Amino acid sequence: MDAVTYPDERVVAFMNENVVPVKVNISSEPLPEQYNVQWTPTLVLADAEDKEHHRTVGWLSPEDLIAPLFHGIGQTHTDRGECSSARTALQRVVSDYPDSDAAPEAPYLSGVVHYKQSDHIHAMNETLTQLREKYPISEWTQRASVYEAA
Amino acid sequence: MGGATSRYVLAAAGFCMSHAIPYRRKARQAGNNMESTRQVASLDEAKSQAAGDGTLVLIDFFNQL
Repeated sequence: MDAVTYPDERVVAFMNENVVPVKVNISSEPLPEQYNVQWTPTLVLADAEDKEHHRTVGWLSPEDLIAPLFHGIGQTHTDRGECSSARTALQRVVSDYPDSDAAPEAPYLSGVVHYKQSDHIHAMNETLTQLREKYPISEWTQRASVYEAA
Repeated sequence: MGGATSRYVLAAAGFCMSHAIPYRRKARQAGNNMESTRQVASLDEAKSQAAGDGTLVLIDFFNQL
């Protein structure tokens, strides 16, 4: 991560704008045990109240780092009930990193947020349509398929 | 971590500061960027900054090989 990913200008810009990063050696307890970290690198996105909202495990390229972290920001807003902000962050995953591994999950979660916001299950049907168009073989498309008749 | 990572925090969460040293060396090698490098001494400080910024803390659990 230090050699390739963190020096990348896009990662720098993301870090500067969105997070306060801190490095913790896995051998320095108690944080690894507190966060149940078993492998490195593990990246945990948490808030100031110690609540974890998202994590990734394993090495990530610059492209594959930013997308899941944007997803994590969307997840954080979702956890907080901040629907509009959640959907904005999740939309960035799809618009800016459409080919990332994190991309197909973003429309799914955005659909969930939309459903919770609107209380109309039709939101999930729209999500399914979007997923079939952009990510037809994704597991998230499969998971959304149950809402076809919605 | 290169010189461009001006905000990348160089702490080992206050529990084993020796692990932060290599990162400081790299920051020094980055010359002018060192001046703008934000450093925190602990996760608590990172959380405090995040609370003030309205952002999140990204904790990178690493293994120094």
